[in-house]
Amino acid sequence: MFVDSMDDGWLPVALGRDVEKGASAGAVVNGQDIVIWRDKSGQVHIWEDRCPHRGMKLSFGFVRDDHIACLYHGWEFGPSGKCHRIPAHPELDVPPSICTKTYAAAEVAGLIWVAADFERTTSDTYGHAQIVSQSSNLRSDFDLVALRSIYIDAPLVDICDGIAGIFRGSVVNKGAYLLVEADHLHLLFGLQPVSNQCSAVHIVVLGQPDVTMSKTLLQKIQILRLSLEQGEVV
Amino acid sequence: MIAMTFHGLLPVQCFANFAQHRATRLSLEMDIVSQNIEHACFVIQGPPVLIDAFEMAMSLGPAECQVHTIARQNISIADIDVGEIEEIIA
Repeated sequence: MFVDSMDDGWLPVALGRDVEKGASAGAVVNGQDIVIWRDKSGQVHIWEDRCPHRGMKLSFGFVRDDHIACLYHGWEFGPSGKCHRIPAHPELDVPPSICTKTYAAAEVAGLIWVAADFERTTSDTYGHAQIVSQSSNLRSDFDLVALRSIYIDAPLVDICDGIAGIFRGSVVNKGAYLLVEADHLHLLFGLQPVSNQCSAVHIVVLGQPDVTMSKTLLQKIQILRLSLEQGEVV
Repeated sequence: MIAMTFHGLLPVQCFANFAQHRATRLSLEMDIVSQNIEHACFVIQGPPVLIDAFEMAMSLGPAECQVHTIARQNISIADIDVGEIEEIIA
């Protein structure tokens, strides 16, 4: 299936739709704070969510063109993660050692993914995404509709069991995501481990669901969350 | 070039490691002139604004250390070795 390659050490962290050009968002993956931001060209970046100056979350900052500025003192960081301007000292040639940690990011199937081990270089990122798209067996006119992201206070293993129980269709578990075929729909559930006891699920519909179908799906997911968080068997 | 002298409660290895980490992060050159649990003297070279940033970072210091005072003195690179620096800043 078209996202098979993304199981190779990548984790979904957001719906692509939810991070617009010029916007940033914070997320947590296995306890690690990350910032996801999109520059004006549409390229997504994922970094450690921490300004090297005073530790302020970069996800609170401002995206301008191809850089993000920290909310605290306005330090500006370019796509490489290096600080290129300190407003309080505009004449300073900022040394390259002042930088934040960058992680490999990819955008595939309506989801934004980060390299699970946080070790891959950024140069791996888009080459990997191209390999995925080339191996895709989807029809070129296949639509994807991002449905929603949802946080659930439950471990992923319980969520996967719950999804299988609720949708009662064909469920393929790929580790970082589930592919579910139910009610004539193909669903992609991106699975993000926030912590041992908290997870995020990012839901994409492969196709064009009508409003009723979408509402039904959302209700089922809400039921799942309530059931899991209240400790009920789904 | 600045000689920066710290007084306080400064466990040696902890304070030196922290200082070196910050200096590296700010692309400053740092040499340890002298150090004991109550005082530390470093020679710092680099852009003035980044030396200021280094001083600010060291004033906060790691949790295990307490920095009570910081003194700075400009020194010349010419014909100065470690022994002379200690005399100058004393």
